[in-house]
Amino acid sequence: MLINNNYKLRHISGEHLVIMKGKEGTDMTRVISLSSSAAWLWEQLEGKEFSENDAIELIMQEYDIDKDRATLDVKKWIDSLRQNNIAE
Amino acid sequence: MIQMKLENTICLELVQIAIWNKQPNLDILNSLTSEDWAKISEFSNKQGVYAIVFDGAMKLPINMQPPRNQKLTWLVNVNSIEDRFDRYLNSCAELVKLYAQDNIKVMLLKGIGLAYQYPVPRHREGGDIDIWLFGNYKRGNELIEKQGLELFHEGEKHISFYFQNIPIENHSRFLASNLSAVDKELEDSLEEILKRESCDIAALPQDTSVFTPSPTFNAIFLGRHMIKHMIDGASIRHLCDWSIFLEKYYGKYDQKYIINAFNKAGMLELITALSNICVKHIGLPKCYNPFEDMDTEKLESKLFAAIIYKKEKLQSSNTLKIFFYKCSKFYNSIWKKELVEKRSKYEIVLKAIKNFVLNPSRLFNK
Repeated sequence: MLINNNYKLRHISGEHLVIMKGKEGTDMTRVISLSSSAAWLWEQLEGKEFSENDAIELIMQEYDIDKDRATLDVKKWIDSLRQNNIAE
Repeated sequence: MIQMKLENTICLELVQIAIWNKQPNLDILNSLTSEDWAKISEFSNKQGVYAIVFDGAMKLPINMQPPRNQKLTWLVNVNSIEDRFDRYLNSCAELVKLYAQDNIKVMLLKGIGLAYQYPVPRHREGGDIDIWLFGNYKRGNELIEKQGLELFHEGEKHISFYFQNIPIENHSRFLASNLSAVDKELEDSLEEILKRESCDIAALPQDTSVFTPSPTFNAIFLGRHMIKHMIDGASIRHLCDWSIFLEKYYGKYDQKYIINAFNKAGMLELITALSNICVKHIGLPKCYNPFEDMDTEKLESKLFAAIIYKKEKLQSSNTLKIFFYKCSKFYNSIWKKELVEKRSKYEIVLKAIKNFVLNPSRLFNK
């Protein structure tokens, strides 16, 4: 899996935001707000090919949580990236 | 002293926070309403510093920043400015590669080269890409035509074309030296500098690079460029360009030479006044201003008011309204033309009448 490098994560006054541009000529630009852990994961994996397991490992190490909880969080994160066509 | 509106003062304060990392003046930034922020954002947009002012606003304590909705709208627009800059940069690299196939070197004037000196280069807004091909103007144009691109609007100093939808201006000369004695004087200085100083080099994407002018060349070229814009609408962006240039290149340009060149062209008072405006309103530290031995206070106020209170663009397509709008615009610009072109009122009016006789429709068309 790879995060599309057209999308950039921004940190604006304590928020972690990703701008999703609409097609040329349309007014469909959206801004997605990420949680701190989702933003952290984004920064670790940006520009790299990664698997679900890579993300789970990272989350477990950084946040000191068990595998079940990490798997749940990562699945949610990946689903959200896929739904928004941010990662493929 | 001119009376500034709240949005003018705040915009200038935020520009200084963004480009010099100035400590915010919390007294004036406290308790801004969403209506105030809307005016600030609109004013900064008109003045070409929309993304820079956003940077300044984002450096404020969170409770003093614009409301979240306004902030997000602003962010989305800033994102478009950044995308546009990236597109320009990539197209510029492609253009350099195209000219290189024909062994034509490219010098990038103003714009992108200057943007690199800003704290956030992608936040300097630009209009087009200005290039000079080291004397290969005609060969460069032929190459562009061979690509099936249309060359159009050959002006007094450049020809324009679109490359990957980006407007490009290929300069045959740097200034309108065929039309103005002031420009002729300064163009001679620029050509002299080109012979004795080597150019700088700026990196572009795709492993390419481009030549940029030497600091002494830029001091005269950018200074004159800003002065010329006084006629048709210099903006805070031009003042920022000049301030950043003076600060970044202090000690790297030939100070004596540029003061002498502006003096010989009759532009010393004007460039001094504009540089002093940069010190007073853009926050350029005084020690970086090479033009300071002249009292220009009265002229400064007049020039600064013209920058801040620009005439709104006419929206109507009514012929009569366009006629009166253009007449009033011309009348209000006479004093600026006198200063910028060193011409008398009579010369300016006579030239305008001549232009009108040669092309009367210009006065009625938008």
